[in-house]
Amino acid sequence: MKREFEKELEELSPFLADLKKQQKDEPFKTPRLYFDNLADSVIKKAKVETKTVTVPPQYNSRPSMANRISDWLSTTFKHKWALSALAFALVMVVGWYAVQQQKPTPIAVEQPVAVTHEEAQNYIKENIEDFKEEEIVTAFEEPKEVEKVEKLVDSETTHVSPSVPKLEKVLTHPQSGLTEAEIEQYLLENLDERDIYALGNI
Amino acid sequence: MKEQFSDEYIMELLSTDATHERGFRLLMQTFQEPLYRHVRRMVFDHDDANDVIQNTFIKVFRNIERFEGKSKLFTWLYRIATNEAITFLNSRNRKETDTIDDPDNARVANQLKADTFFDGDYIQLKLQQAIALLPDKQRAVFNLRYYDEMPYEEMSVVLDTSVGALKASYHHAAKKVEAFFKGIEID
Repeated sequence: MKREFEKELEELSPFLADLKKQQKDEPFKTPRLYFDNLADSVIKKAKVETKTVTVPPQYNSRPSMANRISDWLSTTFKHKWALSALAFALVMVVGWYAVQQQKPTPIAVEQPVAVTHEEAQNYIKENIEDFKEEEIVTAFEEPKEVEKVEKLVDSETTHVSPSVPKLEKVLTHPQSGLTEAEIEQYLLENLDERDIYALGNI
Repeated sequence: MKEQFSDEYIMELLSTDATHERGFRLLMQTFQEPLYRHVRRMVFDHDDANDVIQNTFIKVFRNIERFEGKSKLFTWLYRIATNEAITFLNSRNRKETDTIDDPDNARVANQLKADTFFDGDYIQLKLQQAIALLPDKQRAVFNLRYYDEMPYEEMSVVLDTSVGALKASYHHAAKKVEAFFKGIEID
């Protein structure tokens, strides 16, 4: 039984059908060992530009994160303009950072806080032990302040020593926890003549 | 006798880095000779055929992942080789300015006479001259059917053309070739 294409050709062109039977040999030749070396030549050329091996999707598993990053980098840096743009962006960021570092840091100006007199008094009352005696003495140098403190202290039920009358009233505040004798002893040990003189002038 | 390998075996080797090159060498070993002959019949000259076949396999090396297994590997390779050959011929035709004074068949005759890698007799030379007269795609149709005896269904995949159109093209090509031998002009 004749094959389909032979039958077709005989019907179509008996001349070509006969010619095909007579011309069995292949007229086109190749250089010696051409096919032995073709694969080497092709692979060598293909590898010049193909650094990574690609595999058919049906046989391939999902690419790893490293491969995807590698692919992204190779795609991104394939074009020189992308590399130039990245370098320019990097220079801009570094330059901006350097300029920011050289600018003087603005100093925060402390704004005056509005504190009422009553608030100040309450604060002193509650934190009397935190004040140094010099601060207290300095405060009493102002006559108006002395009067204020006197009024404040008078409202307390404290005993006032005759030697250091006004100051002791303050220091014997119940919250201080000091006795009259302790305060007197402390002042004698720590006040010098100028302090005593100053107290005497009050 | 050359050992034959299945598409599945070759593709399996191509699927891993470790065996990729071995798989590609097997692919070439299996298909390089029929593909070369097909390309050579399209472009006639060995050096041109060598360029086309190398480009074909380089494309295969780089794009093997695009082979989806819907057709035979052989058919897919023929498709790439045919497209590569037609692209080459179109490019050559654009570059050459003497095609009007030196038509394809005359040029091919002179080329083959001087070609040390053409070993055909007068009848073979005349047949190649006749085939050179065919338009590029019709030449591919004629060669695939006349020389490679490829079924029309497979040719349909290779050339992306319907079976009916391929049959008509082949019949018309065969009539042209016969007419050339008999000295009859056919449009």
